[in-house]
Amino acid sequence: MHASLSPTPRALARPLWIAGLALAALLVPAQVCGREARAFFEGDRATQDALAREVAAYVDRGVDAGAFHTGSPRFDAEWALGTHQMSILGLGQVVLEHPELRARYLPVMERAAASLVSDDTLAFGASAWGEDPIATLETSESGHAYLGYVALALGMLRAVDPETPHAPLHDRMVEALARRLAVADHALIETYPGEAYPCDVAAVAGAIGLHQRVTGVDRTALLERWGRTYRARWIDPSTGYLVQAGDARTGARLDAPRGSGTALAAYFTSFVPGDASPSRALHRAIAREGRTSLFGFGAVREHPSGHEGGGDIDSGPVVLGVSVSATGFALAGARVHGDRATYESLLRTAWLFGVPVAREGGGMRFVSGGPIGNAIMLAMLTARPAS
Amino acid sequence: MKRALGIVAPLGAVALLALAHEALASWLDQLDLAERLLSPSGDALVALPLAALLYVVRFALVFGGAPLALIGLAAIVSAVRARRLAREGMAGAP
Repeated sequence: MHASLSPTPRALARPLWIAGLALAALLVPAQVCGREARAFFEGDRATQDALAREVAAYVDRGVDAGAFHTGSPRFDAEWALGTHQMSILGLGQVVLEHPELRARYLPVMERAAASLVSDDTLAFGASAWGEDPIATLETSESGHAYLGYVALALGMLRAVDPETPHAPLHDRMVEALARRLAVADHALIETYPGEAYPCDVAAVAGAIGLHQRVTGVDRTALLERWGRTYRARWIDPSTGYLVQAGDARTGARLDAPRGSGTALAAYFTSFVPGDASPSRALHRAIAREGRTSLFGFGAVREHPSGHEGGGDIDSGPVVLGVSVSATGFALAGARVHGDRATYESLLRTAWLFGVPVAREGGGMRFVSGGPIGNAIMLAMLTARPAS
Repeated sequence: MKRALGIVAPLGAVALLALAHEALASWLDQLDLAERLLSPSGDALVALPLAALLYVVRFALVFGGAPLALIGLAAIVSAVRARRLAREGMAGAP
């Protein structure tokens, strides 16, 4: 009996091997790259802390514009500002989720905040506008929308430490931004003279929203009015993507809807309380219109269907229509809005290309991230529902 | 023996690939790969091929090595179990 069956299994062995290998090749890579996804999504302390340690180490080493070489002094300075901002946001989110880590990371957040508001870091804005952005907070009506990034980070610092020495500056900054936003007919204020970006203004609105949450100063009416105009003017009705650039004076669109700005704005506006926040709508657009997936590896398209284009400093490299920045930024919206499937699929891709390595002392960081990449990943991976 | 070697040899190759990946990733991490890639100095010229090599090894490991290792290990477990069952069957035979 055994002998008569023998030839059939032998004949099937090779095709079975090939089929098994093909099936494994389809399924195993996503499992290998997604093994930490659940822990990150669920806020596992050890997993978050490992990346937070390395971001804190970057802050301690010091990051300034000289650390970057994008080819543009303004972009170098923006990246330094972004590194400090994302470090504070990420570390703050970790502390809010695990308050027992406050003593370890609050001093690091304070150091990052000191660098963030230093004259050196803000010199690019002063140079562009021809005025000191801090000294003219009460007197200037110029936009300085990049201060939204600074104010949002200070708000996170204040959420962790209400007594921070940066609280008075935080109040002044948010007051100035709210005053400027209140007179913006098209829900947009300029980042630089003649340049306005809806994503930057999302940071401004997020900063005002977070300030309201941590101080109780009510600006609900302003945020609701801003939210209505912002949705109508800057969110593309056919795709749900956010327009990348506009004219603050005329309300004209100056660029196409883009994935990188949409995904980052979904994160920033998650700090806006209540129905005024367009965060959920922006994340839904990313998940519906932008998300693409292959064998469990997710990514986000920079340009929605019907729009063509390449990449730039905002999107990072665009490969097969997929943007590095949009893919990374979209992690935040996915966690904020409880979209586990999107979060896990995007994290698999980030894991594959980021190349995580374990470090001495229990830390973990992405080899391809550097200071700004790892700070962004920490902030995006640990983003929390604003409520 | 030949069949066993046919399973163990690919597993050994996957293990070597994994070791190479870990060594390369750790080395490039210590070299601050991202900063070097952005550097205007000659560092970028050195870092770029090393980064490309890292990704070649990583993709080979994730998309080839890991599935192969899983199937290979499954085959070994299956063979060991079959041999044990056969031995138990022979021992129990009248």
